[in-house]
Amino acid sequence: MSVAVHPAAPQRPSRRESAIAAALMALLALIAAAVLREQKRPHPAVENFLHARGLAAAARAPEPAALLPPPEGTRTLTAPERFDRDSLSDKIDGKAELYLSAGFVRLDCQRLALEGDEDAWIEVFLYEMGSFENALSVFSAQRRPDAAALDVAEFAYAAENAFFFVHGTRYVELIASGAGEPFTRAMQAIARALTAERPAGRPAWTERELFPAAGLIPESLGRVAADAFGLAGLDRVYRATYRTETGEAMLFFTRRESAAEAQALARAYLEMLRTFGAAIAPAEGLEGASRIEVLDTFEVVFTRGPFFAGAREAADPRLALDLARRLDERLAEAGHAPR
Amino acid sequence: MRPADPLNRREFLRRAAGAGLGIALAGGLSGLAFDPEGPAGLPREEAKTGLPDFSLPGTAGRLAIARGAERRETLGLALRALGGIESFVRPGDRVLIKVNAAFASPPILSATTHPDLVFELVRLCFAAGAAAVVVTDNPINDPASCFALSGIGPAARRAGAALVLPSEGLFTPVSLAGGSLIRNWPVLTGPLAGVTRLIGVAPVKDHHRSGASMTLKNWYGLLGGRRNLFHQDVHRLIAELAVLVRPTLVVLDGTTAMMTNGPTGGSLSDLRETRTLIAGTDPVAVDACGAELLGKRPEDLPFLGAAERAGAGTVDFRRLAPAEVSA
Repeated sequence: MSVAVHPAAPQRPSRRESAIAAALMALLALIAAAVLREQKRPHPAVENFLHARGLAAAARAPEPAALLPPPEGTRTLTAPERFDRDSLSDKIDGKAELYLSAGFVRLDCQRLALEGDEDAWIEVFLYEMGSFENALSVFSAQRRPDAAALDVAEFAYAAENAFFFVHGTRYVELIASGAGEPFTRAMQAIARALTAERPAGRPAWTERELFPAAGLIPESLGRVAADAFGLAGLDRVYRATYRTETGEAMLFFTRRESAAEAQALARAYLEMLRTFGAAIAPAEGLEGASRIEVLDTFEVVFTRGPFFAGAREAADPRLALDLARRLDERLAEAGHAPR
Repeated sequence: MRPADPLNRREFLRRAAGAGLGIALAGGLSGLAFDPEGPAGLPREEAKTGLPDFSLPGTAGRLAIARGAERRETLGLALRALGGIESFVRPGDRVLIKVNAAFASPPILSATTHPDLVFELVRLCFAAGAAAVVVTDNPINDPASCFALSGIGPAARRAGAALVLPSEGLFTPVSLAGGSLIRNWPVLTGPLAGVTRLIGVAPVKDHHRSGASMTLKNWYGLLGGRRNLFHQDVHRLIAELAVLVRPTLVVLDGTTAMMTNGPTGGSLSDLRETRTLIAGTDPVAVDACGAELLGKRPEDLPFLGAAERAGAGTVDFRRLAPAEVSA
């Protein structure tokens, strides 16, 4: 190869050369992005092979110590188990997604037997959710209707064979192998031991103060972690049901990063309902709000500052409007005036 | 075209050194990231294509719906309506019963096949002259705990069946011809060795991912490996399982259905007494019928339509003129 060598200083590349170079660099960046994207979603067989090599096994969470000393009347039946985000489905199979989408950190569980009866046992599930709000999400998503009240925590209920409650950042399930007084007594003892071992106090949950008080059904307070009302991207939604003389309906709100984001979410929500055949019109009596009629129910939705909010599932359009206005007033009082 | 820029010696050496350094750096980084072995996979064993077909000629499209609260009774009624257990199990047959023992949970939660049903089915198989009956599943939780705490293990043994718990040596890689997910995937084939009849027995359950877990989803328990990855495309997977596994008979227990919070449930309030047991030779039809117990239509469960399109059965179970019997 021969190289022409001249004493003159090198010239700057032409515009055309710069454009070609920039295009090549952009192409390389696109290829790199595509490679990275594909690497994030390999065929399941590849991950399975990696697992077979023990790589995934090495990352499994370590076994925990005993969850709690067995309360009086119970004894340890099985060793404690721990599951992390990768292994949660090894314990609860298809329900794992519900927890994972709500910020799940780990699950510790263990069975305790009732003294004197091999076949009578209770399994303790401690879901560490990372925050009270996340724990509330999975609690409210699974809440059984017509459940009995339970005084072990603010958000708690009992079924015939089980206790469910939120304690600090944990969602707790106590599930018995049978129903009846001995099981209930033992579950109460376990719940007391768990809450005493790690006092959580009343959760600092400011969002609840934004719901109007009159007519609110306390046990209906809940949070939807993701894909609320069937809309992808509608997450971190707080909801509560109201009972009034004219019927029941739900109030909801979600706080976004900005007013613009809240408005974009509202538009997406309306667009989704439109595809289901909803009739949408301006809501008279609440500036900027939309009145929706869909599947024989009425909704009124609006944005206020960073909030996207509204009333749903009302059989009467006046009820939807009345509740939406009350929620709007609360949001305004709380200092979120600009619409 | 513009003439080439003049280049002096210093500039040439500078550019050459820069290019050399760049190449060396890229090569070095690639060398660090290079895995000379690559994923080991499941070596030494060629993937089988498909599984044996256990369906019996002349029994296609049989369907029975038995109503009642007592499982042993409704099972007997349903089987009689299908022509008797003798239509499916002949003297000398070796029968494999695939239960749903997915969870180490008690029978009252209805998250697993009820032990009464396991006992009765095993008993009936032996009464029909079966030479051997084997009960198996690859549960989600620890297998020994699942079979013990669900009551399935003791019930199967009490009735004389052999219990096969999954172990590494019982899985072989299997591919489904034309399948996009079941490709070179570990399947619990060990218990199928020497088997002449395959019966699936599953409860009716809500399922957070697939909408419902019934007889078709029950075949998920034959898969090994990190099968939870399939939950991202669970309807396609169930449809592929419907093609892969051709049973002699399936029994769907809707005596108590798990209506909410499936597949694990946890509360008795998740359950409803639906007092129905469905048996048949077309698992797609059986599940389509079972979907009604959950208040769902076949179109609410995309795996049913996908299984039908794949030729695994019919969603229109009424077309099979099901025999309806009551206790």
